[in-house]
Amino acid sequence: MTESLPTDDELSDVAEVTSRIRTSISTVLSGLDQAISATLATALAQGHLLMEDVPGVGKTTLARAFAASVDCTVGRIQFTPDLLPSDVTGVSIFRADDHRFEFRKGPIFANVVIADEINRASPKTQAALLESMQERSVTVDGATRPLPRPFLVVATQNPVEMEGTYPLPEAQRDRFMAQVSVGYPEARAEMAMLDSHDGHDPLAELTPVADAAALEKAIDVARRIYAAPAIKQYIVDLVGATREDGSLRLGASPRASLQLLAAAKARAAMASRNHVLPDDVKALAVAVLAHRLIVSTEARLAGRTAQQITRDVVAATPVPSAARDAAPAREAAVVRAT
Amino acid sequence: MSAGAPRSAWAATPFIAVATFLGLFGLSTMLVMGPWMRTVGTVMLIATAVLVVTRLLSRSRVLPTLLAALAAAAVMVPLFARREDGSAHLLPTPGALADLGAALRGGVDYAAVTVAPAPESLELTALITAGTVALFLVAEHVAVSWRAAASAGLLLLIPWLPAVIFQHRVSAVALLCAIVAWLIAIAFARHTAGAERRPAVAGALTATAATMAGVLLVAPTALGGLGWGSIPRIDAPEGLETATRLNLALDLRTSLTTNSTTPVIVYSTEGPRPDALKLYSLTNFNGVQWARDDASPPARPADSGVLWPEPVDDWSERDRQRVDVQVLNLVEPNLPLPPSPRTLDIEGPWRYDATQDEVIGDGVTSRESSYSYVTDPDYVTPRSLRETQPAIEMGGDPDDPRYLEISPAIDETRVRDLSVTLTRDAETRYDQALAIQQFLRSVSEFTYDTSVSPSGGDAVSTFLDDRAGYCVQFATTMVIMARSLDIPARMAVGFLSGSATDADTFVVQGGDAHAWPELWFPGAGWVRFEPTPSIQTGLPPAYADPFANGTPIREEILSGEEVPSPEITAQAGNQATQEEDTTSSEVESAPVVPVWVIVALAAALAIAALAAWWKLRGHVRRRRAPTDAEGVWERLRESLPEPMRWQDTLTPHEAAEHVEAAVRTADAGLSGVAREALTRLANAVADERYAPAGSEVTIDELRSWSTTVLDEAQRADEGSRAAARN
Repeated sequence: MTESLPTDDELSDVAEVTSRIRTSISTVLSGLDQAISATLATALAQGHLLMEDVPGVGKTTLARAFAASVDCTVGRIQFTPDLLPSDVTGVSIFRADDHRFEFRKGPIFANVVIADEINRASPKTQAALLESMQERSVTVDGATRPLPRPFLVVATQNPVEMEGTYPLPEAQRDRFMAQVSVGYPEARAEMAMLDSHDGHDPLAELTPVADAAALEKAIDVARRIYAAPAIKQYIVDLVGATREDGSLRLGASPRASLQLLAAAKARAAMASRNHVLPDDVKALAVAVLAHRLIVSTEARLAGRTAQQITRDVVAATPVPSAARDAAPAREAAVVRAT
Repeated sequence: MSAGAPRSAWAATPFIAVATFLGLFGLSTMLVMGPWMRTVGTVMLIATAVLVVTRLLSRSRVLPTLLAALAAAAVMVPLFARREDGSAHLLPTPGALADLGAALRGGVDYAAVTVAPAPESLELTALITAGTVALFLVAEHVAVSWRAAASAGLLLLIPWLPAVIFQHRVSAVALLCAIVAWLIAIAFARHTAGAERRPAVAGALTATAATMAGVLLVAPTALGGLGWGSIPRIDAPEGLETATRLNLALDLRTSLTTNSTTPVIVYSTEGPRPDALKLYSLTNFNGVQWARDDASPPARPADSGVLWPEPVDDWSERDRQRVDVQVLNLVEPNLPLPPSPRTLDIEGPWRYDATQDEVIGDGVTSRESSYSYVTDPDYVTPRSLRETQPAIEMGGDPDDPRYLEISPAIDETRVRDLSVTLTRDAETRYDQALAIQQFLRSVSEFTYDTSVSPSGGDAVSTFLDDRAGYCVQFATTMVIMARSLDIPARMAVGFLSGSATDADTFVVQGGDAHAWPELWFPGAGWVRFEPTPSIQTGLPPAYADPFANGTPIREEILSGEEVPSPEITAQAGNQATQEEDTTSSEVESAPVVPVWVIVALAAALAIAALAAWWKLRGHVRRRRAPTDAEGVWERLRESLPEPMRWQDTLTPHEAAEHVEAAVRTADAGLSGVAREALTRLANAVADERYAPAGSEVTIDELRSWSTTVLDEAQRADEGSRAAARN
């Protein structure tokens, strides 16, 4: 699969589109550059985003601001314990007038789907959403219906334990490309926010600055970004290090490697660079890896979080200057000859 | 990318072969080295060649070992497989292989019935060849196929195990060479992540050189200059053998630790073997240790007639025996001589000391000399010794009181009581001596044991309590017991008669060193007795063997039942406060072996030089000016002052930030030019590493940027140091 590298024009288009979206979101939420970058990178890498934070810091606002900045369809699902899978995917109803079933699309049929408080729904409903995220299609009553492109799910969940919640299990958290913590804004940013919200809703005033087609094109460009063998080596080293870290009960999956590379490519595209730098990988490592890891009991009792451990792993892993000789490949060759 | 490592790996194969082959020297005490080693070497060579060629052609792990095993078997068929009628097979047919199996079984049977060292035989050679090749194939498979050369070393140790377990002396050079070969094999077979890395042969050689230097120079010096002999149980091979000396400081408190197989003397004779070959006489015993007098050089030339302390009658009519002696590795000022009257035929300034009954060289050693002596081995008989009794009673003993002296440290009463009890029925001095000798030789009374427990000042009492020791303890006790009966007695040190290598040729090894008592009989001179048990010494001399001549000895004495009377045993128990322990005539290797030293040092130097050259070669290659962005970047990192150097966990851009921050900490920070140079350099490195097209910056630009950054960084570092000093 030799695809042409993105041209400079394509790259500058991507940079321009993403920068417009970024500026647009920033008018609503100030001081969240990192979260916004991660959101954009996830969108360009065709991933899905998990936002986990305390209530009221702007998780939903960020998702809605992104959706409002792009001229595309938006679906929003407020998850509740009694939400059914069909409430997400849609349902076939019988039309008595012409004696046939008609499929009524659920809110998931949209370019951007905001899944609010996903951990409040029953696991069955969660699974329905997560399957659709993975397959990018919905199968109801034996008929498979593709979801629109681009397709981005932004799920939020509150980390504070609450009654009647079903925290996503690790296997399902692994489906999300990145997890972003919004966090409390700085004092100055919070002041600015108070000003901007004073008397009116800035979200309502947002106008789209890009359309779905532009986003789709940017996604295509990001996919074709060049990643040197050394970069892949670096990702493998990082992911491998999480698997060997004593503070972690579960390391990152091979899917994590794939998604980290895709996200890094997207970040490179946003910087209108035609190749990935280890800096891209580093910048996204915590967002892409941390939520997949399970911290060992000892480390958790010692007060360490998956984010901290991931940062330590990144700080301790050498940046390769070239891909090392693929020793396993040679071993495999030896075995095959016998 | 895969070319480097496999080539390195097969290179390990010949070294594994060498190490395995050298392991045969570990069996040198169990097998007689000989032409069979060539046979083993040939089969090994073929197996190695098959392995190397197969490994070059195939990457399979199993195929080379399999083919080599088949090749070795095919070669062994014509070498070892024999039909019923004794003719050899040529082709490895099933029948031939069955005969080969029969030959191997024959080797096992042969090994089971022969006594070490086993002489060569076809079956045994077949067994050794099969074993060696099998060991080699397994070790090579582990080392090369599985890249576990270090673990293969454990397999290579197997041939050396018998020497370790049975404490045999083996060739130090062979062991050293085997270890070097193994280290080089490790270096070649090492599983490198980067194929272009050179195997760490230099490391292996350097380590070997350092170890050799330590063993050869530092260790002996640290041990007080005791020399090479202080390295226990490792002996030099033939041609580099250590010189051997007798340890004359016979100390009854130390255990016998060395058991040298170094041949010291070879002699040939047509008659019976001599009982022993004496070199020294010792008279002074302080309770634990014998000491030698400083005697003035004797005046009598050694070739002047019969050499004996007493006049010998009708020498020419006696039944005489000629013995031709060749001294090999014995470095002594004295000549080994039989304990009987003899005439000597030797060139050189040798002189005879009648008092000591020693032939002493005038500043020369006996090493490498050859001589002949003619002696009468049967010059005394029980009858003639009994007939000296009147002369004894008339005062025919030497005047020297030292022959009767018993050190105050020794419990003389106990010894005398024991001796008197033992000899109360003996009518003559000869019968007394025989009674004491047979008491000490009695296996129900005493145990021969080379390890003795430490003792106090009276080693004789300790021995009489412990009832265990070796020749020095037995001989010393007999001397003291004889002296307690007023029999002049002294200690003789020399060698037992060794073992036969041929019908009339005998070899004496270092381990045959021995000590025995000499008792004075007027007219007969100093007469050797043998109180050390037969397990070590065999039969006593014919004149002192009660079973050979029917001398009337009380049966109780012979059986040893009578001997320690109850009261004496009780007394011994009361006084058993001091332990005795004894060295027998221990063989000591003298630090006088220039060949061995020079060869070893030369080898160490050569290896060190080789290692240095190898190292230097790599060094030069590494220090060559960098030719790409990566090289410039790495050189910049190495050249920067310590706090500005970056970790390898940083990306080029992070590294640039790190350098800038570090310079700002030390000084005002980089100038605009330097900052730009640093950024451009980092960009170039990142491009070269990660961009699809690489970097297009020229090397000259890279170098000039690097120089700019480096200059400012070093200036900043010096400035901050100067500021810190002020």
